[in-house]
Amino acid sequence: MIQKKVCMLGGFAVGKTSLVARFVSSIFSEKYLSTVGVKIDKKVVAADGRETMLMIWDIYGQDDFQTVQPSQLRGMSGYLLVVDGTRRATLEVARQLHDKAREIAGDVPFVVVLNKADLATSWEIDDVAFFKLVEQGWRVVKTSAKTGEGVEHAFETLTRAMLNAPPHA
Amino acid sequence: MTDTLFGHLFRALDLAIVERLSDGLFQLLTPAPVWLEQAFEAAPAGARASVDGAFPFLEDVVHQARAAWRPDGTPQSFGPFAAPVGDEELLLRATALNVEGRTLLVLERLQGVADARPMLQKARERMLEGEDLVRRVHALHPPAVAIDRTIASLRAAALPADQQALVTALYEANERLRDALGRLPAPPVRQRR
Repeated sequence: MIQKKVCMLGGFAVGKTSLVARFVSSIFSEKYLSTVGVKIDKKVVAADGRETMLMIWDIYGQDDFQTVQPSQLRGMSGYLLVVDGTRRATLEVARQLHDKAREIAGDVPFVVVLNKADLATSWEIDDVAFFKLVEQGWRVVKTSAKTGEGVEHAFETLTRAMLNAPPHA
Repeated sequence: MTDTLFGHLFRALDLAIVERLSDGLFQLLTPAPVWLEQAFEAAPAGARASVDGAFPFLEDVVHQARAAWRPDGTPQSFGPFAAPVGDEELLLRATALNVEGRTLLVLERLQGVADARPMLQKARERMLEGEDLVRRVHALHPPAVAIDRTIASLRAAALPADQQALVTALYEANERLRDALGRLPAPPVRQRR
């Protein structure tokens, strides 16, 4: 079976761990618990008629206290760039992490995940900002780790992109 | 005597040393800490096991440790990794090194980093509260501007003296409010469109 390393990248409290918990174990907790260190989960995804084992690296959120290390990103085949739709500043953190990921892992596929779709009325990232990301050619998926909306789709979109990506130098 | 001493020492430090064998298995060279017992089942020193399943991060560590395992390599640490063991989530660090041609991994539990978690949690909760406060302050700006406009038009209007005094008092109170608002954190940076 094909195996792919996938990293969850984003600012703190954007919902990276919750997305993994929803995707891997179908569970959700309202309580915010800071991730310390890196947690690795596995899940088999069927995409394009093939089964792929995803090694999902849930990396702590980047902020003044913790910085994502290059060694954590090496060898990844793709990444989910997680943004909290209710906090505009997390989009800027995502952009910084995107640059860092490019520097270390090269031009690997990624999907921007606009999380917390269940709190749409409190969103600071509006449709204009959303379409601007799409216009850049970025794959963007709205998700809710709470309701499960878009979560499978986000991981499947990334898996397909990884499977169809040209071999990386 | 020395074996017993080192056995106690490794247990006290909550670490274990394993050797990566040519067949891909790991051989335990020290007594196993409790958290490693399951991976090595009975966990006697000398037990061999494929611990990648119990600790998925090791697959990546083994891949990245090649440089450290070369005869001229220097020790390299990886982690911390959060590993579920029973009902607990432990923080582990792996250090790869070559000693006399043997490819070793030191696996240690990081108690200190784990202890920092409540502090980090609290700090981030405070940051979220701070962000929320800034958003609330930002939400006050549009009504404050509307109040400014209303007071300005009242001041420009030809009102009786007693009402003018009231408007002046209102103006002064609003100035203090504007001053206080101005000293609060700036609203989140808006994206350029």
